[in-house]
Amino acid sequence: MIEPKKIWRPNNVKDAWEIQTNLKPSEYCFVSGGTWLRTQWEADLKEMPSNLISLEQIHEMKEVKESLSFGRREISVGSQVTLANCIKHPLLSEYLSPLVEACRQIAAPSIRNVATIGGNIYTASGDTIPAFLIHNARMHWFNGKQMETELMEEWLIGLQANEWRRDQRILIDISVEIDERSNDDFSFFQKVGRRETFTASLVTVAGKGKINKEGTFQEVSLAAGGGPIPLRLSHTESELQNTEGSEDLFETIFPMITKEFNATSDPFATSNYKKTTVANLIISELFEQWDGNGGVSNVAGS
Amino acid sequence: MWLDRSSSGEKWKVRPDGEEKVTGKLRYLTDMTFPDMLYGRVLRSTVPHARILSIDTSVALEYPGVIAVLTHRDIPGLNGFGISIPDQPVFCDALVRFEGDAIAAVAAMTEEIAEKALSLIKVDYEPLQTLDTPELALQPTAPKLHKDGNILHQTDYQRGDINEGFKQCTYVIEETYITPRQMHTYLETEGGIFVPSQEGRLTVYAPTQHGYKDRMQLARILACEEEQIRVISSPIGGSFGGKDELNVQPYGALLALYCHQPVKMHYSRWESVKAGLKRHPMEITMKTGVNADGEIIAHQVQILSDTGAYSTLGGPVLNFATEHAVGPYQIPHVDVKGKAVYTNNGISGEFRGFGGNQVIFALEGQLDRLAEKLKIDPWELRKKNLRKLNDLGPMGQRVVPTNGPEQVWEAVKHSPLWEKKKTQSNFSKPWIKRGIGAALAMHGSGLGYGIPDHAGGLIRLNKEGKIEVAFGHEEFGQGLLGTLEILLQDHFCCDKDDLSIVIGDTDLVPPSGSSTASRTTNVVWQALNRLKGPFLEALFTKVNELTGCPVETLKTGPGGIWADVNEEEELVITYSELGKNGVAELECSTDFHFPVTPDPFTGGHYLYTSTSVIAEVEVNLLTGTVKVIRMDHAVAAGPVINPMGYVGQIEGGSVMALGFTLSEDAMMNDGKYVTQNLDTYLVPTIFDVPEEQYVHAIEELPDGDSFGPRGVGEVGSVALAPAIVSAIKEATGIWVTKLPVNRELLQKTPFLTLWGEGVEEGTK
Repeated sequence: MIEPKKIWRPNNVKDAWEIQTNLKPSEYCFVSGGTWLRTQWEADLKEMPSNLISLEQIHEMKEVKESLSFGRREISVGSQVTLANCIKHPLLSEYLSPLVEACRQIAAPSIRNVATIGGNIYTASGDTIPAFLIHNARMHWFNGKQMETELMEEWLIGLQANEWRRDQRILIDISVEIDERSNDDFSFFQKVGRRETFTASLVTVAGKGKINKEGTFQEVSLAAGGGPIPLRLSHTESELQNTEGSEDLFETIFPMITKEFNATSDPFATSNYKKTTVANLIISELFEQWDGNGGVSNVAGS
Repeated sequence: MWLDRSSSGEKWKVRPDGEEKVTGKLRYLTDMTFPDMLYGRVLRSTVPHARILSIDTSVALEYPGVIAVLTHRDIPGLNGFGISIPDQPVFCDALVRFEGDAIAAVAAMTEEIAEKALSLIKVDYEPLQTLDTPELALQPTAPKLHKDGNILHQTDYQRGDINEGFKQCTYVIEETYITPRQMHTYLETEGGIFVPSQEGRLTVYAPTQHGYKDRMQLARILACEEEQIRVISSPIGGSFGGKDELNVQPYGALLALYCHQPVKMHYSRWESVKAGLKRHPMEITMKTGVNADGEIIAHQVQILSDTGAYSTLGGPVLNFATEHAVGPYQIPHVDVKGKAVYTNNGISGEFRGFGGNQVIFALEGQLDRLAEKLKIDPWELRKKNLRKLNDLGPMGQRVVPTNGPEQVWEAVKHSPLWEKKKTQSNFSKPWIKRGIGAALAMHGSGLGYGIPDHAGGLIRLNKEGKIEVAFGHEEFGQGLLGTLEILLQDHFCCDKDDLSIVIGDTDLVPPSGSSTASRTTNVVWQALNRLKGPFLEALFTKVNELTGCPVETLKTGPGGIWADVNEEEELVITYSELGKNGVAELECSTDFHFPVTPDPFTGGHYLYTSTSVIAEVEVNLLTGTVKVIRMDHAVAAGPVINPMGYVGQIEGGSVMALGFTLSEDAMMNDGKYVTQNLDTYLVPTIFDVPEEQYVHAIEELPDGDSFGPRGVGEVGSVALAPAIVSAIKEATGIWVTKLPVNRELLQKTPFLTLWGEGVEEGTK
């Protein structure tokens, strides 16, 4: 017979955990905004289980907070914070503008009103991930007994190695360390989809760093999505460290990026296109920082 | 005249169905429910080509809540439908020809039960080779999809001597153009409600573009008299050709009659993608030659059209493409050959533009390429070869004299883009490039020579005292109701409250032919012109009998009949009072045939509309992304009846064309849709549409033209693609031959290639 569905609305994490301990993995799933799950249910990629455990009543997971941790300032974003609230949040606009930009470019307003940061990350391909990766974001999980902390990058690599099998842990929040802003700072986020808005990305790039008056890059971190998992581009970052911007430098890092960024082809774009796009976008951002900073450019468009 | 609110004055009217639509209050037919209503679903094949070994519905039938499971064994009449050739089975019996083929239909108490029941029907298939391209289907060894083979229709038109023509040419361009399988993507997916009466009649509430045709096709399937069926079909949440053919109707009708209960059917977007029609993907090879003076001497065209599993209007679409492959140009030596080929792909059929969009993209591309060879302005090359007022039509047929192509050729220069084209733009970001391109086209309206193209209408004063008109046309968003309201107020100088407009109900309206082929505005205009005289005569005679006022002093006006008395206008009798005094004689009807060429080229047109488009694009070389910055249209379609509707049709058509050019393609792989929903099949959003888009309407018709306003339902969609492609060429130096535009083709690596030669090759 057609099974009725049960919807659970726990108001704390422990209760959420308790509910699932009595159920088999196939019998339940946790739901945030449900926007991604819905599309999978509709496409028959996943069966809707008989128990849906909503996390939206858990207040502690719905906050953006600033705190001090071991003397370092930190911002944490609850996994149940909606994309719309991220866009509006002054702390995020001030310190994590690539994240805000990533949220702004996801789906459409009605979806951003319910879709959450946690859900976006949990897909392992969400557009917010590169914006977190460049900040060495850490994920905080509840494992039934205690909190666990894990670097987002390590979680992604582990997930890929483990054939995308998720565990039962509940993602509570994501935290990043922040520094005071200085004039040398730059950051960026760009997404390329198949139309201007309301479309899945083909690639995303995010970056941040410093460039001094002499045009030397420092502490650059770069990340890109569009491959099997979003990744940091660490070789390219090393190459840029303490290096003065120049056309030669950009020429050198282009093949580094296309080598380092592991893209996959899909029905809509080849891996070659994605690699070239990621390299072009990242270098154009670095170029604009450098060009605006006194560098001399001969770049023309063709 | 640039057509907008200010230039239109009082004629810029809020459309009668506007408020309900923008507020979401409007109830489409698929929003309706009836007591004791069942839910119908169709079981579709999961394979594109297979023999059916067995169908077992027994388990599904026993499932609680399932009322009926029907298969090919349960069809009382013809197991087939298709406007032109009924070769699409309602239910497959032995052979499956595409993944959307229907095998069975279920009626159940709830949607969930109906869904469950589908999963309980067991079908055994023996898979056969998938013919997923026309080329494959044309192989001599390919299995036959229909009894006469895999060619649905061929066209062959020749004049002059093509080989001799090419010998006279200084330059010849040969190119192959490929166009996508575009989806109509209506807001409201296919659906309907089917209500049987105790007397054995069936009321069908389901969108269509031709209620009487649906009635005929359904009667054929149900083996009943047409009059046993009533088709109520408006309002409709978009159609664009896609709901012209039957979709849910056979299943809903069969289930409702079998169960003696109302049945609702409404396709999900997924099912709509799989089962619904698409625009024909075409591969068009054109070889075109000019002499040194820029006169086009020879033009050879081969069209290969993928019509999918069944015919619907694949034949007429190919006829249209064949005719429009020659366009508005005067060419002495012409050879056009077309083939519409059955494949195991999704069904291609009728779609706004009707085969014109594909070939006009190719033809205008040829003109641009030839101009480049000749080193002359591409617009001047067009001028040199454009038809003149009294020239014959593209297939050598007589046409209503038209200088539309010359008018739109000139009018495009009113766009500010025309002047801007002469200047160079510089951008701070060196990888952003801009270009401006233009194209023009001539597009036929009406069904064309050899196809019954019935038209008609009815007018009466009804008992409630309203001037009522009835037409067998449909409102699917194009603005028919607004146009009729304006025409009627023009004719009768009355208030809109004095009017009643009846459409989309076969029990209440006369046959008027289809609401397709840009014909409806012209049909209602002609019909009202024919009806006005007799109707007024009947009306005034009656008023004279009732009031004694002399007929010659009477006229219609707000609220009733007015007379000039002592140089003052006086209300003689209200429509309402008139209605109470008997309306039996106050009804007139007309029927006629849509204007058609006397020369026998099947599908050849007589009435034409012309358009030119100029578009500016911005190409980002880092990503290959193309953004249209502005597009302006000139349209020569005779007098403008409903300015807002006119602008809406051109804007709407051009946004569809924007999708056709840049993002829309219902991709198939091995006979299965890859783009199964609107998350991968991408229509333009408001951010993809340029903020500036203007429509220049040319109303002047040649002296003596009595055919009035031509329809503009399609013409806005036919010429944008070549204009964009021409602009891309100007921006990047690259000619695009395949739509939608592949970004990879336009992407460059400015940080590598510009550093000088021999340093390092880019990844591309």
